[in-house]
Amino acid sequence: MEALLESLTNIGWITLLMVFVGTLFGTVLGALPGLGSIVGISVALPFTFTLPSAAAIALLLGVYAGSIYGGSISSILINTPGTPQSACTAIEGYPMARMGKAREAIGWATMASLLGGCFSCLVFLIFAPQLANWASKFGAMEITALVFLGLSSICLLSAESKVKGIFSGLTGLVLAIVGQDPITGEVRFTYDWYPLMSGITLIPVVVGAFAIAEVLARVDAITRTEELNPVKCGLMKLPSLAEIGKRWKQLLKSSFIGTMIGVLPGAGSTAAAFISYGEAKRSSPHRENFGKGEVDGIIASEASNNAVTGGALVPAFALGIPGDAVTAIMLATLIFHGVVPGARLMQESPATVYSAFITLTIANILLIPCGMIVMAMFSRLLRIPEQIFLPFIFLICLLGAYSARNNELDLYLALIAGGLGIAFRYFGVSVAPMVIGLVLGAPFEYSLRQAFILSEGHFFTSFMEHPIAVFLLALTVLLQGAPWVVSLRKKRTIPANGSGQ
Amino acid sequence: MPSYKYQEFIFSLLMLVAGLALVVHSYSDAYTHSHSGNGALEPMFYPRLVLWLWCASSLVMALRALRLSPKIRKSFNGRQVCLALGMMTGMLALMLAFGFMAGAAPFVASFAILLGYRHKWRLAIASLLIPLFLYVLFEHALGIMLPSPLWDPLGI
Repeated sequence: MEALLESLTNIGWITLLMVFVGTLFGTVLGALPGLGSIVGISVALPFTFTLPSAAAIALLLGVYAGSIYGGSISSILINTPGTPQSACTAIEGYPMARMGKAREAIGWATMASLLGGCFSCLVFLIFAPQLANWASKFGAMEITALVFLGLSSICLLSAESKVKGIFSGLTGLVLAIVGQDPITGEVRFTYDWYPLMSGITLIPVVVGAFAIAEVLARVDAITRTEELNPVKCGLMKLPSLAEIGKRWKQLLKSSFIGTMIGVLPGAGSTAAAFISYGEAKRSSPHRENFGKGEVDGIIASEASNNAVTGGALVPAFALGIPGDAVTAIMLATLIFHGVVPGARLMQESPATVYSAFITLTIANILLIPCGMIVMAMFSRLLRIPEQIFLPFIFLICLLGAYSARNNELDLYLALIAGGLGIAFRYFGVSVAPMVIGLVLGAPFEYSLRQAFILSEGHFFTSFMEHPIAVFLLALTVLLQGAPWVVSLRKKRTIPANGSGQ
Repeated sequence: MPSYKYQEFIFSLLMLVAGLALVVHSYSDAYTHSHSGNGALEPMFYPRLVLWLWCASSLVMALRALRLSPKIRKSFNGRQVCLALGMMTGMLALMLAFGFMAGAAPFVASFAILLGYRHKWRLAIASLLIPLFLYVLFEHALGIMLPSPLWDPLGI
């Protein structure tokens, strides 16, 4: 309690100003396709050197939270995920926008992001040491089982056909094997072409498969029907307390999933968003509306991807292990300011840790005004005639894809992914499973092969000796098998009722 | 133009062929070395597993496509979409050869014309302003360098 009170005194007006600036900047950047957390953090980093440590961390945390949320705005308004974490938001948010409910969709995305982010901060404040301890128990077997659980959600993401969903997911896994072997470092499937050595990264594929494919789909629609149908939006419409109350279960579940996945190093907010979305699609009372503009889908994606922000700080602060590039930069900033993360930080300077989480909570609350400002900017952009807006979107997406690595290969990849994306759309193959396959492919291969190597040829026996892994596998079987069992029971019940009459 | 059923069959077949080509490549001499036959240590252990599954799913898709009704029709303006994709490719080529502005300006104009925009002066202004705005945003505001052209005397 004393540390918590002390942490509140660490937050002065400079810290509050930096939180606001960081959140606004992050939201703007997140809304621009292809840019996002890494670019935002990189641009903001030089400014942190002249700031006090609390303000420096506040700036970076604001950019982090804002950029993950900002991706939802472009996802909803123009079906172009600003960040990979918002790809699922586009699946539900854009249909809502086309029905004239853009304000409500963004309102829900904002509230879900706020609540998810605050939930993870609250969980951390209460359970940080226990969570860090739990995260340290995750070895190769556990991570394999967890990632397999994530991959199994591929089956739930496909709208038209499970076979096509599995095909799409496997396409993502195939893309993930190009480049260097994560265990031996040997180069695979590059055909001696140097740019491919670093592999196929996520951002150009997401930008291409979603955004560029959407531009091409609009070309098809406009040239066939000669109808322009731009999305209109005004001010954000936040859901009422009663509406939030009706969806509290989905909010809580998605926030929990995001927080728990965020705690695990390397898991990432994209994986959390897809896993949460897949689970929502399986369990939501409105599951038949998924893909047509279902609020539960937006909640699942946005609550979980923002909940990761708090969860990701647990291994970073408590164990000194960064979960991704963003938390790695934050740790570097802390060290620059003389604060050494790790187990001792929690004991010697708990106020520093608590002030970071209070700052992150403030950043999440500031998503509302920042979202309103960015939405106002976007609503002006949407007044541009669609025939000019579409090439503008294409250019910004292409440059966004390039900005991730400054690698010309990403330009070609984005274009190829765009062509593949429009072909997938035409043949009813969902693109979302491909993205999740690409995201989870590398960690799945690494942990699976590591588990095989460590088990010295006795993989299955060794697997049974890891109760967390067994639990996760049982959960996967249950989540995937339950719908089949229910539908089989329904088929058996109906003929029995008919013959009794 | 073949029916949708055969279009989907051909697409699935192309994916199957691509997968088999990659599988064959995975058994090539390039990957025969000290780690071969060493189970999970072998670089091709996991890729072959994934590729075989991919081929299997493509085959299932192809077989399911054959069972579709030949009466299924999908409205799609393939020619215009291919033209748009060609314009995007052309833009990329021009940008990499002569610079961002050289590629982006004609692209904005031609793409808008493809979509039926006919206000010449507004189009001319937009074709210059949009690339200029993006150039300033990325190069100066965000500090992200745009792709460098092979020949760039003006530095843009």
